[in-house]
Amino acid sequence: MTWFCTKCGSQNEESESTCVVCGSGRISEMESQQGVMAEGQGSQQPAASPPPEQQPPPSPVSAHVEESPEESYLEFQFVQTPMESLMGKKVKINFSVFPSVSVGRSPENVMQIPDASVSRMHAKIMLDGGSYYLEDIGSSNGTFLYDGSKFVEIKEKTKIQEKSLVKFGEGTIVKVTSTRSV
Amino acid sequence: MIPEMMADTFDRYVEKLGVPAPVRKMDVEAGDAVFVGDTHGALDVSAYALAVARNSSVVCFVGDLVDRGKNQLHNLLFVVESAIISGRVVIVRGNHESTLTNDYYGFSDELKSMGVFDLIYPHIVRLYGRLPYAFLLNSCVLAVHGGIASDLPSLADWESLPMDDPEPSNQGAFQILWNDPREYVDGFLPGTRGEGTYLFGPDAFSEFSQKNGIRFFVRAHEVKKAGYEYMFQGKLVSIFSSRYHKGKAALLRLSLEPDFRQEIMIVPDEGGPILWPNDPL
Repeated sequence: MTWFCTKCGSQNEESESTCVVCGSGRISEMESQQGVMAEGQGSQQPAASPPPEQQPPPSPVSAHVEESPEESYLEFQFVQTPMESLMGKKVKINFSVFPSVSVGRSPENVMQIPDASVSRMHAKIMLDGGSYYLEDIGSSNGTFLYDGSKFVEIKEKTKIQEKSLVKFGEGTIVKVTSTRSV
Repeated sequence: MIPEMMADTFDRYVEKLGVPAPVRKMDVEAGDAVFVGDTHGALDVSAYALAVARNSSVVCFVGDLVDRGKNQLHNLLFVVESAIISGRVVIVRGNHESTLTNDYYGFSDELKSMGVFDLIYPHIVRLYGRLPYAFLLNSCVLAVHGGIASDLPSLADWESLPMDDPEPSNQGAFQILWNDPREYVDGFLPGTRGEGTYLFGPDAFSEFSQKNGIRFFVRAHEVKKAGYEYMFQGKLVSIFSSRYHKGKAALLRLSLEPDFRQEIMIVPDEGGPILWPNDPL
């Protein structure tokens, strides 16, 4: 009996609990674990989801990418993530339409991260008073900010800026490569 | 009887290695060197590598002979026995030559299913502790399983690493077996493989290479669909030599002439006949 990875399509032996190619978990197992978590947390997670309007077609990384010099944006680079093809990729998120965007594994997020250790609804990034802030929204494996020697779990709304290094869950690290706020 | 013969293979290699050396050094005047990445029980790849390298000056297995794959014990026995026969076959320790990983990734289970775990595993663990963390060829080519370590800037530091460390528990040795290179990291950054692992960037790599006179760096440790990947302006290569990840198994041939010419050899896929390297197609 084999199973197919829902992220990269590779075939895996029954004995593997994560994809041997991209490291994603078996979604059936992940979903049931998260189902238990979600019950304990009530309806808090779904409520944190921002409106998914203007969602581009599903792709490994989706984000608002319209470029205009007058727009506010925050640009990330993938430094480490299970999917080989995303490594080094930059993603620009536009904050001019919505000042708060969602980060998570589900396709309805503005910034979708295909990593089994990232929760379906994981974190949000907000533009507030000219500064960008990051907040975990009840993820299973946490959101972390690098302090120069280690990744420290963030417990509340935390400011991020250019060169900030953020870890989502256990497998994805992104670097803030540039920001603009107007 | 058979478990005793296997244990004897590991003991004879421990004896042949002699005084444990964290960095094994070799100087070869001519010819080429073949490097083999993670084989993880791919006995056919190991056999192919030795066939391809039969005219090479040296063959280096860059760790991870066991766990995950199908013929882990046989693969280890084959490579170790080859290394006993020829001093030109070098085995560098990988993060799976460790008591930390064997229980989780299959090697302990394979030995138990054969009914030989209690008899031979202690001999294997003793060998793990004697395998070098690095292979330094001609003073300028360095082969390790993972990468450079944040707290060991000089190769002289590597040479004083403790041996007979079954995990290893020494943090520097652990990093050499577990770290990964990344183009977009500055210096060292805690990695995602667990506590004590790091990612290292081009600046840290360049500093280490210059300080220690390293011209070319070979490592393994990461699944690459193509079987290999060059980084850091071609000065570092990752080589991966098993197919459990459904990708390609690759080998690297490095000329020891001044041009350091390199050739990536893709091991023919399972299922089809494996041609002897000079066979007519």
